[in-house]
Amino acid sequence: MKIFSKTWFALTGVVIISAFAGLWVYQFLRTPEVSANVAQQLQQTAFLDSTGKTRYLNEFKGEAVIVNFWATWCAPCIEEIPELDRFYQKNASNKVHVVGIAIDTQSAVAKFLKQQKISYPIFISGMEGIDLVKGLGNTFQVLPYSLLLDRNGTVVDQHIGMLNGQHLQKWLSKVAINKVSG
Amino acid sequence: MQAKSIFFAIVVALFARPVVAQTLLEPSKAFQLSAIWKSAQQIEVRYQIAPGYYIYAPTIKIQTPTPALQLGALERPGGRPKVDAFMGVTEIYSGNIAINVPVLNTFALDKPAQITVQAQGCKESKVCFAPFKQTVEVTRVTASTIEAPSAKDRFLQIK
Repeated sequence: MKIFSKTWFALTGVVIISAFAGLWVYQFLRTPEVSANVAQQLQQTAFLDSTGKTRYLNEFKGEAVIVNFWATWCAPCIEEIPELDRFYQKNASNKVHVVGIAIDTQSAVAKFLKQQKISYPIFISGMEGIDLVKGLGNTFQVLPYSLLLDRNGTVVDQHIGMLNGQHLQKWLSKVAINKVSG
Repeated sequence: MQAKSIFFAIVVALFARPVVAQTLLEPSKAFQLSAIWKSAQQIEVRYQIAPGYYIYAPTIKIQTPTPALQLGALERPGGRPKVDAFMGVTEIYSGNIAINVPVLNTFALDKPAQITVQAQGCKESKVCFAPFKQTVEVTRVTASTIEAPSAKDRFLQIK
């Protein structure tokens, strides 16, 4: 009886640990899906840049893009900018771009850019960008929020919160193996 | 006994990390809003802010969708100073706060009244919520019975 009890205990343990390990891995790896329609809409959305020129994400067709939604009123967003800038400077020549989309006013962004130099392109959505991130699946409308677009413009991953160097490297390897289809 | 303890420690560690450390409360749970009639001339707006979250004090704006109710300028209590990289020194609220709003006209307290509060807040060192609006009934109870966010609260995963 004692042997049976030990075996049962060990088996139950393995099952429980496996289940929770699976859940843990799933929660790290899962990517909320962005529908093709929403991704298409994002590519065709008109933004302004800091000079007032109209810009579109489809300017980067054929290249992988990290789209980073940020705002001057978001302290963690400002904190992650230097990391994104370093990544952009290192990888732009390899056709992996970074585009910042500011959910903010043009005047606030202009003031910010006078204080902090950013190498990658900054687009401005105005506060209407809140609806855009909500439509992409960021239901609580929090920033920073980043998307990884492959060379076809498909959203292959998204991230809520600050991106660090390790995460950016993972994303780099994701788009490096994503080949253009068709 | 020792083996059992290790076993349960592993289970707790595996389960606790994704559920506790990586959850994000929705704005209405992170920043629980209520409002009471403090007197016929004053409404008290209360925020119960979840641990680890804060609201930027200057972003709070109060309006009413109730046509017969006229509100004066809100009387904000002093907040805690916070230094932001771009905004400089700002005032923030955390924990429980109460904001007095004067009522400028005579309003029958037995009639329903609502207020809408706009604010902007963040989860410390993680994310910031876009400016959000919440509308609540102004109640006639004198003591708040707001409960702390429960385990059943909706959450988003943040990596």
